[in-house]
Amino acid sequence: MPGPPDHSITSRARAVLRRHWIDTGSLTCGSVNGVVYLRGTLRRDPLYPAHRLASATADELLHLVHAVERDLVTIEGVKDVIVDIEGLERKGDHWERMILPSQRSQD
Amino acid sequence: MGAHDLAQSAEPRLTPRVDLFVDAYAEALETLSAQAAEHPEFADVQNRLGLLFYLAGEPDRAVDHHQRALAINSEYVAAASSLGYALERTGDPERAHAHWQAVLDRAPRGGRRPDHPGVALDLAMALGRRGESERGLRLLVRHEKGHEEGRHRHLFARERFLLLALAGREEAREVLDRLIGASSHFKAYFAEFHLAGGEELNRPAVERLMQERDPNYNLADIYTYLGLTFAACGELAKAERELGSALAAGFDLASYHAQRGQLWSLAGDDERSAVEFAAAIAADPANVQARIELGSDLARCRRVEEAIAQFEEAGRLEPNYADVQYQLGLLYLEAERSEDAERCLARALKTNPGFALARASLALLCARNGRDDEGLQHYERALRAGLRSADIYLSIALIHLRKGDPKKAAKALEVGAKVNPRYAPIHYHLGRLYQQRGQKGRAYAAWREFFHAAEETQLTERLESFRGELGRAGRFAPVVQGTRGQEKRAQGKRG
Repeated sequence: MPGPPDHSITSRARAVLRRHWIDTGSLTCGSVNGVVYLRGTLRRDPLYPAHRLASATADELLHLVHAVERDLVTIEGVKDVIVDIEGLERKGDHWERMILPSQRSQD
Repeated sequence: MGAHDLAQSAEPRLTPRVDLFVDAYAEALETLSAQAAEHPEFADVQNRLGLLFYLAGEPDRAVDHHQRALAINSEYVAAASSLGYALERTGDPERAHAHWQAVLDRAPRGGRRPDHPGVALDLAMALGRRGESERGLRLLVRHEKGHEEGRHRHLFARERFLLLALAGREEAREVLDRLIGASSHFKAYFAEFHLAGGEELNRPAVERLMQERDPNYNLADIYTYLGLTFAACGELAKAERELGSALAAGFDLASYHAQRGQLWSLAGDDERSAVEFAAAIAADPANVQARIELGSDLARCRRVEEAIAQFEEAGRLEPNYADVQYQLGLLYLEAERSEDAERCLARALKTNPGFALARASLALLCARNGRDDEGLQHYERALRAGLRSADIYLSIALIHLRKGDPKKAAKALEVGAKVNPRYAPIHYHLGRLYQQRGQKGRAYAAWREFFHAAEETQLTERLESFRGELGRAGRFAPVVQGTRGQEKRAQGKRG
């Protein structure tokens, strides 16, 4: 029985991150048995042009995680995508900024 | 024009490149300024800002930013080198020479820390520009030791050629021929230096290059930065042009090809990026990053054995690079070389015991090879490291089932179903387990979840599996051709 194509999936997943200009230094990304795991801090590569960030909506990060997740799901052989990004949490089909207890008490 | 004439026109001509890359210049300036404001502790950002102002013909502002970079990190050699060029441009070459000389005097030679070949090159070429080629050559030869095979060897060779040619020495032609033979890019670059027939050296061309070219090879960094900025905007032709400028400035073939590889990789062209990464490795066989990128490209093109060869070499060059061992382990898994895969994944974990992905891959490998207890241990450690997914709970449940413990299996499946209710396989196995335990209502509910979550291919696979099992048990004759609705319609037509 051939092994799971985890390297091909990992390699394609990392290519997706590069195409979205994500700083891969602060993230770990890999596949186990066809399930892609993305963990760490999501931020743009320092080379990403600043004016594009400025022109994007304030929730650029939320759009970004959504777009990345959508692209990862379409990689051939992927069974599931687990996104565990610092400061963000999934609510149903969309992503929201995580409100820390300290921020809640300030409100 | 002789060497002394050259010295008379000592003020190097600034090439106003701003007009060539107005958009990218503005973007680069904005990006770097934003980064400098956000991260005032980044010396690299200050240095790049300095290079950008140098290119824009504002040497005073360049001096300021290079000095800021050095205030953050006094050991930052590239900033020390660039500060000299900016000082030269302010019209104070003596201060620039004194600065470079001070950096060289500070650098230990033959000690544990490396010397500063870049600064030695700066000073040697500055001496050449003011008509002291022989002195520059002596300095160059002294500092070239140990860099004959390194990635900057071509830069040393070019500067040696220029100084030899200016000094009127015969060896210049030999150095030039070796450079031209090293790469087609260099052949084009040096095309004008051989006069017709190749007998004599085109001395005016040498003097022109010495005078007109931008002597600051640290600019290769900023050209690369601009190239990748263009790439971010989807302008690949402009990006390629900037990388060409980076090569002309730095004479670093390995970096040039590696950056072009990255460019094509960003454009999604794995075949072309593989060609560039292979060229980067040919120019510098010790370039680990290029080997990793080439290995990944080859794997994406389904050339697994070739990809393995690249990762093996990267692992040999950097034995403590956990991610290389992890990726090599995955490649061996794909190639069904279990023992090699296990060795690499274990090495990745030895280097980085918290590497949860490597841990889970090792667990999968153990489970596939029938070593359930080891597999279970690794899965549990991966879970403790925060790697939670329905698939991991499913794998744990299957191990418990093989070990004859359906209770623990059901518990793992139930947790997995909570982690991701949309992961269809877990509901399927949960349904089967409930059915075996006689819990028909729960089995029905689980399968209903499975049918909601499953994709068509998964449903077909499971139905085929059911049909096979029932057929083997002699309770099922595979005669149903369509759905109940289709059959009713067919009966209606027949009636």
